[in-house]
Amino acid sequence: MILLHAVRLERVLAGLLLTASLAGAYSLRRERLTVDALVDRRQEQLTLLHSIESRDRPDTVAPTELVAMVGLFPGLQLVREQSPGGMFLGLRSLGTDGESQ
Amino acid sequence: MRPARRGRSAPLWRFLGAPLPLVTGVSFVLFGMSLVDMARTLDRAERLRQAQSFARARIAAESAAMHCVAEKGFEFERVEAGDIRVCIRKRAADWLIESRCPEGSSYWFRCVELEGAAPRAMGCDCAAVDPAVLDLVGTGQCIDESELPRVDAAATASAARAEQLPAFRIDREIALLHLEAGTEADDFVLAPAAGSATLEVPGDIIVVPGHLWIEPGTVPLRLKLARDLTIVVEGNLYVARSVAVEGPGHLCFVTVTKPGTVAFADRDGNGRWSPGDVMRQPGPFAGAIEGSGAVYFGLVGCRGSIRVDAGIVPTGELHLRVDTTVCGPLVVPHGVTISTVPPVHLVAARSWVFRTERERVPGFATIGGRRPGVLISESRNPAALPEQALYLPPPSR
Repeated sequence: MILLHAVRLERVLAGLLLTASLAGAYSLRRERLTVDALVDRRQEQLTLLHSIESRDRPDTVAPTELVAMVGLFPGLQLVREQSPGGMFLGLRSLGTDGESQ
Repeated sequence: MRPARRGRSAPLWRFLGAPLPLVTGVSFVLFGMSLVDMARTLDRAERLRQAQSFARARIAAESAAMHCVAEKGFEFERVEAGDIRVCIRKRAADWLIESRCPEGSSYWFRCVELEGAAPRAMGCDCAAVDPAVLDLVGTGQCIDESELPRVDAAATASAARAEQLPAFRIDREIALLHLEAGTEADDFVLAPAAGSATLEVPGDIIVVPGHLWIEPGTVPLRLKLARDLTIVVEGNLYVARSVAVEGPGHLCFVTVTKPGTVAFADRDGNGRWSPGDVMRQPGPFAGAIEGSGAVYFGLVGCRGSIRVDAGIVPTGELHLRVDTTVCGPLVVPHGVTISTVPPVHLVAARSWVFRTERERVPGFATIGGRRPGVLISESRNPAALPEQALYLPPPSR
């Protein structure tokens, strides 16, 4: 009788362990895919940034390209600025409402 | 024997066949695989974070440098660019810039201060006033006459002269070898001793007071350049073989029309002014019969093709006798004369061009205001380099 109960308990434990490990693996995989997607997106943004920076004239950078950079630098926004030395790409802090300061 | 062996292995099989050990094994494998995957992803994310941090520091450094350039006479400046602190220190020859990110990492850059932007044409593979030239080359940009690069007279006045340099020699016969009537001005030959030369000059401009010849040869003329160099030819440039440049420097040939001489298109290919040739400047013909300011790729009897790893900026006409590839910027103010049948080709390879807004091109007048040059990343803090001890340590007792 005790042996029968022990066998049943072992099976229940095995089932619980299997369920827990499958759920854990699935959860980790989902997290990994989320992080991977974010890393891929940031990588694309960095590649675009390098292509923009390699241009000789920053005035040829389109506003849509600057918008595509949003999120690359947390709390900062890429902007075109004018100085006596010509136009260049700069960083500006974002306010809490998303407006540049 | 067989029953005894079965008897010993049976408990092991029973144990392994039991659900709990089996599931435990599977769980460990799943957990291990997930950990390895996660570790890889986190490693990627960390490398990306570093690249992001560096990009942000570089943009902040550039932004701060651009703001500082407007301030005259600054020695040391602290600037807040976004959430990054930037310190700029002016040194004798350049600026040292430190970008300190909020997470604690610091990056160092250095740059030179430029008088202004280089001529825009030096950033094009081919820039021409006449659109027909662009049709011939197949690429390039049409520019206005006012955008043609101008030689900086003050810079060339203090530049090294070809007659003082061992890589140049005056040859009184070379013109007669290749041109029926020879030339009237001095003829210089760029002839390094062993077929390969490091052009050691005090500055980055050489002035050739006459015509410059690059003699025919089976192998390219190889020059080693540690920095950018512009050769200003006050006459014609005759190129009869390929030119290859080694090292980080870029080479530019500029021809200027000397006062009292004229630039013309040598339509009949005899190398001198004759009826049928086209003047490239107003007024009657005057001065040396071979004119000045022209560039000739290929000489009479030359065959094959030429590849010139240099920028070419003539003031006069560009003449082609062989297929020619120009690797650097090619600026054509007038036209291209091809005096061969069948016609040869001109290729602008765009192997390199200048970043005119942020790079200095020696020997040319600049445009616009002062600005910092291209930022160069320093792997470590150059200011933290160990200094030379002034006094030797006292001997130990």
